[in-house]
Amino acid sequence: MACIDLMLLFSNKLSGLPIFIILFAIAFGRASAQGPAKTDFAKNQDQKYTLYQVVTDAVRSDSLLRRVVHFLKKEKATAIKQTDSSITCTGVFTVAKRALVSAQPEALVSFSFQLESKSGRYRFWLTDFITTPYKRNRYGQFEPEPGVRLPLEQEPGSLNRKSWEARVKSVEAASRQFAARLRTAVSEVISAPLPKKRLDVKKDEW
Amino acid sequence: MKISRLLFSFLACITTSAYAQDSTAVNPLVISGSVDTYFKYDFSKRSNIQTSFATDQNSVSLGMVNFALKKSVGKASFVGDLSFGPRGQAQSILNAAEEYSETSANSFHIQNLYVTYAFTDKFSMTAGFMGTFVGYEVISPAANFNYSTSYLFSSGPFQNAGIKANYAFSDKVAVMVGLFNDWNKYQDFNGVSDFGAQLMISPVEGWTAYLNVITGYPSGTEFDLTTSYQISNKFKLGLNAADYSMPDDAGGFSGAALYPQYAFTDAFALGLRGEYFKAKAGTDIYNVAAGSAVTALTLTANVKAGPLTFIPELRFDNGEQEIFYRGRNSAAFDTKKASQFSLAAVYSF
Repeated sequence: MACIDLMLLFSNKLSGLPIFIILFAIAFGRASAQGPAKTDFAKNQDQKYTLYQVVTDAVRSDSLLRRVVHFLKKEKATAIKQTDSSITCTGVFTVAKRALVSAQPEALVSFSFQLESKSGRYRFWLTDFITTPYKRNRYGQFEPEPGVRLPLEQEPGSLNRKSWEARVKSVEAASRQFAARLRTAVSEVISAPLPKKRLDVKKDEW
Repeated sequence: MKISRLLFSFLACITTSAYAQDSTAVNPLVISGSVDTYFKYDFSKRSNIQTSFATDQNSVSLGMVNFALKKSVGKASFVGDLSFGPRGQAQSILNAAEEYSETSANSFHIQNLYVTYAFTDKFSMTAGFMGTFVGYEVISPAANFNYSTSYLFSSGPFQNAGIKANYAFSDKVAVMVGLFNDWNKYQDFNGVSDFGAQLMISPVEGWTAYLNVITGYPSGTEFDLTTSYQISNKFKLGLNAADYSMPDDAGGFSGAALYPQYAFTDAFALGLRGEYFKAKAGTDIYNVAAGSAVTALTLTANVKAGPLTFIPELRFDNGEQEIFYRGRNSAAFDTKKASQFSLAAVYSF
């Protein structure tokens, strides 16, 4: 929104300004828009990185938990445990280094997931992020290094700090994507598939 | 002009890949590779120890630049993996002319060039030219802890062209069987003559063991055990043991190497390679006289700074017979011992 406002301002009053000012406005607008969204990915009281979200949309508890379990199975989560008002499981995702036309797997990340529902609201969090770096093998393919399990909170020395910071950002982005998919899966209206229409061409009827 | 633009675009692409890490979606196109260079000083003041790479004495020399592409579409995928430079050309046994030559026919070296079709999650077939499934060490400096190579590595196959089937019974057990050309051949003029098989077992998390065999005529038969166990995040132990027999009892080798490695920090790790290598009666192998053995001890450090790894290394070889030169003016082998220092820099992307 901030981005659009700034662009309108520049287009109405300062239409002759060079294009870099517009680009600056876009960049500034983006930075402003991203700011508040970061507050729910931080270290918790146990000093572990956690993505925490509360959703206030009214969804019936039994329907909610059923949808969440369905979603988690689709995401290949394991150790799914359900009570009347909560779900826990473990999951994995891969974070990657991205370029213009390519991506390179960087680390396999496992995490713990917990969801609780109460009075039509629900909250969930992802935590206990453990990373296993990918390494290129003899066949030119990337695979996780067997047996290496590094907590995301384990900060490296100054030589490797930049890549660690980038990895934390990647995990945050992947967690947010997971959360977005979950919210979509819960809010989607599930309807039975329509029967397929069959086209009957009859010789005598036009 | 066009070439420089293309090169600039490619470099920009690679550079971006090193820093832009903001998504979980793995694009099917994977670009990777490495660049390496080294300095070596043998204390006999001449090239002495028989290591496949890092051969040049008292010289800042080139390893190779390596580019690999991988793409998957549905169940099909390919890997194209090329290298340029001494490590990836003349020193990698075959090059464009399929011969070992420091002076001629150097163009490029194919590390991997194959296609795979995954029929199911458990069963896949692969055909083409692949890094060998035998042994602990590989050609790529980015995938080895030590920079110099073992006698076992130098004496075994580097690559195998062929067709193979992989079946994974579970995460813990998998098998591979395949038909292959002779070792290190793009094209086999005496027909597809080698049979190879591999059993992979992973008894506990972090421990993988590969039992390998490759046999055929005229290649010979090699049995190989390659295993590594990441005992903790800091300590890894590797082992390679192999036995090779040439056809018609013409010779062969047997040996074992142990690879303990300890990561003191995320940036500094120290590793040892202790190797025993024996040439069987019949043929000398890498200066090791038939019927005699050599032991080699290599102390290697890895200093990591992001994608760059510095590899300082000290190596001591001790033969049962005189298989090394004492000094620059030695006309023939006149000592059982040799030692060298090397410092390599490897950049992976």
